[in-house]
Amino acid sequence: MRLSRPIHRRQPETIVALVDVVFFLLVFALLIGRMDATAPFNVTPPEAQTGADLPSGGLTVSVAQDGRIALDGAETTLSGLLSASETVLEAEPDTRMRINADGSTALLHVLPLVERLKQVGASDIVLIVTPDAGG
Amino acid sequence: MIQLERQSRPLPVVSIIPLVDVLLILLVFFMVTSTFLNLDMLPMSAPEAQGSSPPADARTLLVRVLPGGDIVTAGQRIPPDSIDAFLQNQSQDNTRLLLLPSPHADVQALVRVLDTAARLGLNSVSVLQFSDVP
Repeated sequence: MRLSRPIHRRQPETIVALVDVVFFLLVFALLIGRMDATAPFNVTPPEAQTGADLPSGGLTVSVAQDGRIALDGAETTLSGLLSASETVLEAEPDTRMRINADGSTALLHVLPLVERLKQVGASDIVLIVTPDAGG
Repeated sequence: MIQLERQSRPLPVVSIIPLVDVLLILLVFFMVTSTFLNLDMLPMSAPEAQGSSPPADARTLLVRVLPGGDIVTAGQRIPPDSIDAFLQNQSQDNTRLLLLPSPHADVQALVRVLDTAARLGLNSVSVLQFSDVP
């Protein structure tokens, strides 16, 4: 009597779990990409050693080297920025205004803007900086 | 009467391997093109609690910030790389720093002075600017 060894069939490899992981990574990368302080123009923030961690949230006002401004990634005018900020600040007075100005932007484009934002009700205004490489 | 039955066709197997390929390509694309910046912040509006008047014995130091990054105080012009040492010598714990930046100075020049003041522990720092003439 010959006994034959049973044939082991290879279990089909399930790749559903792999799809799940890849999909989660994709969504993660998408979300993290949007959390960056985006601007429609090139902005290189100034460097500082004593900056505090920047939490997410709030409105991001970008200021280009030539004075162009953008609100949350969309280029706008000063009046458009102020009216949009005022609307948000009326609903949520504690909204943080994040000034994302280029390090080489002249202060005449930035300091009056900060003052105008205070006039429309902004009480929490911060300047975005990058950690100093030497610090 | 003969009853003919249509044979049930097996459901086609949907291959999801192309889906995985597409997802992986998208993932690599976003990972390569995304820039992960390490961002910090400096406050530009003083908290209300610190808006009170400075102590009576506070020493006020008025500093002008020039377009090139130099600062001028009491007629003395200080280059950017000497600001740290100069403020360390001039400032005390109760020193009140008033910054009057030139409108044509850049943001980095102002941030450099603010950064130095914060490292030296100067808590009372104000940024002045000329108001528009009506």
